[in-house]
Amino acid sequence: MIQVEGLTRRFALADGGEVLAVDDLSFTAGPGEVFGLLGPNGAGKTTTLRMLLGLLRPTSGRATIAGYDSRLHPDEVKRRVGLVSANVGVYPHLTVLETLLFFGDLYGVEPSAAADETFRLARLFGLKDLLRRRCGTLSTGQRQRLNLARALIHRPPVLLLDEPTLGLDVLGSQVVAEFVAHARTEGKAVILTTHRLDEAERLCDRFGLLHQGRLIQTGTLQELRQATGCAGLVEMFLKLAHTGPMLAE
Amino acid sequence: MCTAPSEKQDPLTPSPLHPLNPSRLFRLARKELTEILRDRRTIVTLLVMPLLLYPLLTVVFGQFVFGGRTTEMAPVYRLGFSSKTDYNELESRFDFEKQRPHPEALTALPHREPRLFLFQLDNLDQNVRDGVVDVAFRRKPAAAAAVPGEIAIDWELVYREDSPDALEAVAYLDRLCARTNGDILSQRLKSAGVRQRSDPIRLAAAPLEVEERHGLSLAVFVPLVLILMTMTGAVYPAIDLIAGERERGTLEVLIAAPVPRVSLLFGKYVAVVTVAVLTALVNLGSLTVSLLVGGFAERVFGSGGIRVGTLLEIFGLVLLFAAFFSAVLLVVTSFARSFKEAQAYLIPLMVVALLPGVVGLLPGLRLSGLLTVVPLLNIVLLARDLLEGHADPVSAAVVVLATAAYAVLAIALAAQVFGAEGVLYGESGGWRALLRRGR
Repeated sequence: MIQVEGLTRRFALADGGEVLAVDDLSFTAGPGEVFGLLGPNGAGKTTTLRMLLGLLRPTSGRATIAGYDSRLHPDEVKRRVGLVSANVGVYPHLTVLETLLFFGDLYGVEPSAAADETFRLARLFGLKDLLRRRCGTLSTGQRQRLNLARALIHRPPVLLLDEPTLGLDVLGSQVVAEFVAHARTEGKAVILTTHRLDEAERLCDRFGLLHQGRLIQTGTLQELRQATGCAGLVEMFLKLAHTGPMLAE
Repeated sequence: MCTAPSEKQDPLTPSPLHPLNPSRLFRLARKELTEILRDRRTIVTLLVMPLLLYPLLTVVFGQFVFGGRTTEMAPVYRLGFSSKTDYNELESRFDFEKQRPHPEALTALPHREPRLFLFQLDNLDQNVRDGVVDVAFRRKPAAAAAVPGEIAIDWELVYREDSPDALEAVAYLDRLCARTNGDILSQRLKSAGVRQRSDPIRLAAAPLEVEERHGLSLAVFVPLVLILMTMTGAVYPAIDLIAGERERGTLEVLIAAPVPRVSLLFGKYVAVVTVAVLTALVNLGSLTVSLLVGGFAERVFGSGGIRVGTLLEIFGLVLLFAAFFSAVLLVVTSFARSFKEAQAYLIPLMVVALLPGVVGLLPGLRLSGLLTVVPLLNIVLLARDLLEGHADPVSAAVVVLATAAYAVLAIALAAQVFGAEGVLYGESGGWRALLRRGR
């Protein structure tokens, strides 16, 4: 479902230099699989997702989603992807119902189907009583549930989740965990990025450890344990990234 | 660990629509309009400001520029005297209570005969300072002993230099005195057997009908004010719907949808133009009502007053300007990464946009040649010509076409910039990076 081959992205700097944000990245994710793209801040996770969705043009390499190249057929890719991002806001003056119907319309969902899907998702995410409420009055957790519902309005086969639990409390994080499980059950291919390696162990089936733009290891938790001799992802990452003590002597 | 999918995962989406599909554009614009019209800040600019501003301006303008009088009202002067004796003496000469236009003054320079109110007061200077009277009469001692039989009366007129009414009253009294002096001399010459009319030299006014007025016409302020208000109405929606989208964090999910950016931008453009036009309508309505109620319609629009056809023409020009300026606003705000940055870009834009409007106030400037294609200046001059009833159809057509062309160019440029990588993600790398798009 998702194939990434040699994806690379360089950013030009104002002083004439450049930053290699993503370096020759390759991985796959199939239907019903949750692939965790893990790494610290600045590792290139969000840049990778943006290239997958065609929001950023790769310097080299390619990414295909459901058989469509994200550079050649960006609209076909977008129709098949639901995006949940940590920094996503809401339209404060639209109601929850208007927001969901608007995004249904953006993705070309027929109005009657969009209405049915809206009410189904509202029941699923506990938004039924909030449909007539303006989004500007929602709490953080309610907004995140709205964003999760919004990503599913057009029933995409692929979900890209960029730091979906950022800023959420334990209950909010649980909603995300159940959302990911639900997506797995529905056979969607999910790529989830996070710097919370402990959380990733709970949510993901396979992992890609990203450090300074390079994929240093991929595999299931069992495979990574065998390869690194470490029990947890944190230890694995620190070992594979060859990082020493973080504090100077 | 993979699980078999429990249902077919085709997305619920039909084939993509044309980027400029009218029903899609309508729905996009409807969402943007819903959002912006529910915002309190839009309501303040759209409704509250015009409904308060024009009545206030009319009152202030009328009081301080026209001295509280309209074209239909005769001037009113309040005159003060310190004693009944003084009043009686002056009354016997000027005949205040029976002042009528001098019969021979029908051919004199035209002026309106005022209504006079006379007060006997103790402290004349203080009463003038306090504005109780416009002018006070104070007897002056004679410069020299009067020759027997000679009429020699000296009075001082006490008044405030900063009072328009007082200055007019002094001028009126000066004319009155000149006329009375002439009558007195005529009478005395007649008694001496010399026949001489009181005004040996007369000037008669014979104004000509002209097509073009020289000097500053008040009519040119009307379209300038409307254009300023239209700009004010369009600024907030343009910032909020473009830069505000990025600041709220909704721009990325919007661009992530399979909708061409030109469609998204056009929906926002329609919303900005609509709010700008609504602002212009409310301003035009409030201005018209204020001028009518305040009695300034003729002074601004001429003897014909406000005509419906003229109002419709002015509205058409404002609509054209709104379409053009909204497109320019979208270009500028598309470069901004935040609300604050957009405001910083728009301040110099507003200053630059005001310059042609101010230049349009210069007397004697004709709408012709290159001026027909100078943005904003051409609209201000055309609106002035329409109000003064001498607009040239060919120049008008050039103004409309040029402005429409500028609007199309601006939208095309905005479509290039809106959602560009450099704007979306704050990429440094100069203008080339800014114009590189994600697709």
